[in-house]
Amino acid sequence: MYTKIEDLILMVRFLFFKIHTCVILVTKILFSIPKFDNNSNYFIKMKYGFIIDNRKCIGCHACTTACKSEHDVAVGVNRTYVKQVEKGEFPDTRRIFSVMRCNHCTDAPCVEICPVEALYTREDGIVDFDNNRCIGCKSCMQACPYDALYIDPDNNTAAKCNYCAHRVDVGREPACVSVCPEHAIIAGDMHNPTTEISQLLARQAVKVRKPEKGTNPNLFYIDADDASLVPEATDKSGPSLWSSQARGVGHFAKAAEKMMHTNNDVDLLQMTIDNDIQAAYQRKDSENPNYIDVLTGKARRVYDTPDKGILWGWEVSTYVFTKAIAAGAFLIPFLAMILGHDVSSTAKLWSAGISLTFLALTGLFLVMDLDRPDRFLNVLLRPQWNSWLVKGGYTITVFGLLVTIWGAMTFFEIKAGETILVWVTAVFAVLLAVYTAFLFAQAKGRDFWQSPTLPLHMLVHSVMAGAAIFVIAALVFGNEDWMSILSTIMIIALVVNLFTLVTELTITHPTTAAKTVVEMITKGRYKNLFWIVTVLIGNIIPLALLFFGSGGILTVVSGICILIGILITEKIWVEAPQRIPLA
Amino acid sequence: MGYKKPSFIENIAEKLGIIPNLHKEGYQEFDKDMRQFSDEEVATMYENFPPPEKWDNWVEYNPKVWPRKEKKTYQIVPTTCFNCESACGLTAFIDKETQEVKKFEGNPYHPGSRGRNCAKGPASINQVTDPDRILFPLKRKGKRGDGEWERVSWDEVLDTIATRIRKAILEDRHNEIAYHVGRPGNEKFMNWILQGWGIDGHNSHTNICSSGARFGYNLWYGYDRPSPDHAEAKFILLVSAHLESGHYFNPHAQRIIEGKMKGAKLATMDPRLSNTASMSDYWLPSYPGTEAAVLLAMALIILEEGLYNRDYLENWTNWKEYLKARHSDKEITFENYIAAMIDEYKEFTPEYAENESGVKADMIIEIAHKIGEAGERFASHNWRAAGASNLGGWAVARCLHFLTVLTGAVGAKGGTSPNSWNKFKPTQPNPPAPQKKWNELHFPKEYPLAFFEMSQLLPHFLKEGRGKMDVYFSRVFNPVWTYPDGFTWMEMFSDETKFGLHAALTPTWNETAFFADFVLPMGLASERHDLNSYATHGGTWIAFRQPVLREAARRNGKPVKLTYEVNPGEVWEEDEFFIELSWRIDPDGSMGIRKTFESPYRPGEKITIDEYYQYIFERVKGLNETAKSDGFTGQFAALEYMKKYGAYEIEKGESYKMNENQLTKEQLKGSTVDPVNDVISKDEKPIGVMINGKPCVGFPTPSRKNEFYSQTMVDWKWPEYATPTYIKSHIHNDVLDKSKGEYVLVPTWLKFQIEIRFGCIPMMLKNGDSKQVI
Repeated sequence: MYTKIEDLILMVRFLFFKIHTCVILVTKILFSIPKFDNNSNYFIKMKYGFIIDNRKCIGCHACTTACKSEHDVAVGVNRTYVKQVEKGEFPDTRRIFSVMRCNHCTDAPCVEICPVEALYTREDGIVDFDNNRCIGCKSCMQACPYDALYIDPDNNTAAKCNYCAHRVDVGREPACVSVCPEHAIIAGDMHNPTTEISQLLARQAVKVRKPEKGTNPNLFYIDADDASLVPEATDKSGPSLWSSQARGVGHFAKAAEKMMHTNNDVDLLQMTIDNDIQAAYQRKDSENPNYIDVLTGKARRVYDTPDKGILWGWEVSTYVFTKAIAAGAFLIPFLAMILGHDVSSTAKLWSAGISLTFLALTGLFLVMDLDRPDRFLNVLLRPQWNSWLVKGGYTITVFGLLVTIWGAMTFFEIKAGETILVWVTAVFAVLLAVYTAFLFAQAKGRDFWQSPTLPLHMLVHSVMAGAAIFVIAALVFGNEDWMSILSTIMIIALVVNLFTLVTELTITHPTTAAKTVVEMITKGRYKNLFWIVTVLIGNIIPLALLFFGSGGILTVVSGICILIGILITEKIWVEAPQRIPLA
Repeated sequence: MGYKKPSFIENIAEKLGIIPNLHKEGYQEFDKDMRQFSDEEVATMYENFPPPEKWDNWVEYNPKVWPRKEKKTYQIVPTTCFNCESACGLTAFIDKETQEVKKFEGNPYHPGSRGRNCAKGPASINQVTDPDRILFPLKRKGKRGDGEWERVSWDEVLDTIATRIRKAILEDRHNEIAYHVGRPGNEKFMNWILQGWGIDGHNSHTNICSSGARFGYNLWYGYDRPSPDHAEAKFILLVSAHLESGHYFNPHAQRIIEGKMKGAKLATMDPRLSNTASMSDYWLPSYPGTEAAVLLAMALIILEEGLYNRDYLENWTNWKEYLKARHSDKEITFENYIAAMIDEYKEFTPEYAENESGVKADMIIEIAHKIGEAGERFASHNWRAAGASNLGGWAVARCLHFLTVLTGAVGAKGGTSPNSWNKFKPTQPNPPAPQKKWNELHFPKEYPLAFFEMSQLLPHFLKEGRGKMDVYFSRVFNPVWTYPDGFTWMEMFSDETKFGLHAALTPTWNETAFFADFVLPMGLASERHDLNSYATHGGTWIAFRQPVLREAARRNGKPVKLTYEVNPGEVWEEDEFFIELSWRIDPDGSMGIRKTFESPYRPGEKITIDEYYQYIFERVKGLNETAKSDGFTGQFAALEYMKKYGAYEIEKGESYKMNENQLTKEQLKGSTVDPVNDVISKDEKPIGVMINGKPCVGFPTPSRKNEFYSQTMVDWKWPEYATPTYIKSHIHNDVLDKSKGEYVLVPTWLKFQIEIRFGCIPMMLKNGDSKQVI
């Protein structure tokens, strides 16, 4: 028996249902508004991927040459290659082939770090690139955990496997897939259950490289072996017949070419000799000295691509240093002000002056590091906001503007609004000091840079550098009362710095790559620089001098020591992780 | 796929012209018409190669300017690769605007390579565009070997050489003319030319290459090469690295892996840890020269355990002859045959083989069992490797084929056929009579069983004063670099009394060309005509290597007369060069040479390259019909079909067990059957053999069967080699004194290094050796 109330309930329910449906519909429509300039096929959900079937791959390098031919890839660099590792002990030994290339990651770190959207993920999952945007900052090469990118010496921009997107768009398979004698490379849409790749993925046990990086790679290996997939499983092969171009190709091609055309061949010869000597040392260091030692059983690389070398060189470590001074030179007087000290106009002008000078140097080094310095404006004008290079670029710009305004106001003795201005500037100064840590963290390829204490490390360096620079500058423009705090600041900063140093080096590192870097710093090739310069000159000596000495020349010496320490520390921190092979 | 819209800032900056506008029209445009295959097609397609109807107008995006979507129109013309013997299919992508070859891809219509290639295929573009190429015929200036050259015309080259050859032939100095080839790659063309001149002028590199293995095979069944049917096999045994450095690298590698994926087991005998060894289920790193001992040990197990194919042994080996010759005291029964073989090989225990070769006895036993289980589906291959460079290396192939015979896999599906069953033999126009000359510089009498020319001895013979070379062609052949004792070659090449005129036919510079009087640039894969047919699998095909720019010009309505008119510089090809040269040797026909080179279609006139190939192609089984059904008509239909597709499959899977084919009544007419050995003869020539009352074709051996016992070897006074044997090599461990630093170079290193890739000199080391060497 129906009552009116029951009818009412039914009606309300019906209305609710309708509204609910409408809301869902509207939401769906709203959220499905395409963000890209799509070409009608936006709604086709495709996801391209690769399978390398090691049951079939015979290591013949056909893929390598087909790719070279298709894309006219320059000498010494590769979009794809076949890494070969031998393991076992004669006669129970074998050679393992691993086709290496871009993994077309779903969460591609190269796309995230690229400041100018030169790298981008297409709607069909292909990670493509546009060398017309690229500025040659090489951050993608630091971010990619798979060593997939290189600098194309023809136009000094980053390049990599782009899944032959130009062929895919006419309905053809990538060149490596077409050529492969064994059909060991399988390409296709992984969302379409009828494709060979989907069927293989459904039936076979597959592996990916470095799943722990969270990149969600879309290149899968059937029958893979960690001896080959894991870079640390084998020593990097020294320059040999195949890889003796470790220098003078890719990013370094410019240098080699310059030598060829300007000078004489002697330098180039020297380069070759350097390589040979380096190789000899490497062989000496290694437990497996040479080819014959397949007999000793340890897995070893027998074919590899040329080492890409240190991509971020002195320009980058020096820019971190000058940037620390630029930020610190503002932060120190700011600290004095908020602590209630009176900072003279002279000191403020010096602050602004030092800050802007070192900021200019920072910008200069940054541009110098680019392989396409002519395109440096792209960072600001074609910004990709997820990249810390863009955030950093804008930070530098804004900070520079603010300090200039502050300097001008000081010069013209305009007091109004100074408090707000210095506070805002201070925020940007801190950002300026620490942003590189975030950039380094975005460089997913370099495990050691992922340290959470890195922002603190950089902030402290800025404070130390700021104090040190004022101690030295005071020699010129004279001492002021507020400068009494400098010694204290330096002492506190040094203690914090030592703390971050100890933390960064002793905390348990999640990966072997990071551990290897620590060993390289404390016991390996950087041990002298680290213990003598970073620890002793950069921290212990100034700390001792500041504790036991009083004022004058000792403080100045401390300041100089601190600056040397920072410069060398940044050199080690920037360089060392780049020596770990990514593939 | 689209290009991203500019962000607010970028948009303004681009509009203001601060940075280049990457969003202007045409940059990001995606043309839906460019999608040549639908998504569904792509999903199911395996070879999505451009369809043939679009080959004259194939549009792709230019990868060089990507992601800017610049369309590039190509003309696709097929040819075959020239970087090894396999002659895999290639397609040249010719830029329609510039008429330059831009890249090479595979040819899906090629039955051997099936659209796929090894690294050397796409790399052909590097050779074509090599800035150091020789683009014009060169004549030496100054002394031979001084390295100074001047450009000459093809006319001058042809006249100079033709005059000299004409003079030599007229003065009956036929043996002073020779053509020395490294990579032949043209079915019978040069035999046609040289026989046309009536000279014994062919020399090859085979004696430092495959002739050892060829001899081993030939003694067995009259064919000198195997054609393993890897794809259908259950067990594959390779002597050396056929996955990456085998003779038919890519086609064989495809089918070995195909067989493996279908369940076949792979075993490889190779002293090196090659890629093939790595991919094998069993790696047998045998000490060089001991392979035969291992193979005989396997044979003994198969015999002792009764794993052999009784029917095959009974019907298709000459066992009665063997028993009669070797065991006349015994009754001629099959059981006695088996017992005699077991007795003959009794010393080849797995332990003995292990001791000789270093391969574990257990592995030898296991493999022997697997081979026995595989039965007729046992594929095997020996080409160079162990068969080359070892004293007694020829015995390796012979012992390997012994296993093929024991299992009855000879010519079986999944077994190992004679290569001739899977290879096309062309019928050439105006076949010249066989030459009546014998050049002892090539086949010296003291080597009666030399299977191919003793080419490695040529400079030594010249030095001894056994003769001279008045006109000598080296062709894709570089003995100064690849032969043992290159210095003697250099010495002889430098001596004009030994080599009167040396013409080097070569696409690239090499050490031998340096000592030539003429360096004549010959075309690469995409710049020449050749007919190819190779035993890559259980099938038969032909492929057509052609100058792709010439074919493109023809299709575009601008045909040329000679290939060098369209090739880079004046790069020519051997085919046209030798026809032209032959014509000039005998311009009026008085020497009887000219008639071979007259057109079969236009009496009295010089044959054209198109006519030569049309003549061959129109005689290929089924090709005329296929060409017709594909719409080709007219006199050159068959040729045009080949120009379009580059290859033609004559048969697939029909060429098994051809020895069992029965002789026709016609063939049997007037024949006799030998009551003792059942051999059917006609005009005193064996033409077949009676098997179980049926007149079968058999094999081209005296007994028409597999010859376990070779009367030939006995007749030539090598009775100890009458049956398959193990011959201890000159580098056997017994004769090496390691304390004096004597070590073994792996025999194929040179071939391997030259033809496949460069590397360290591989030295054969065993455990413990390495310390001494280092």
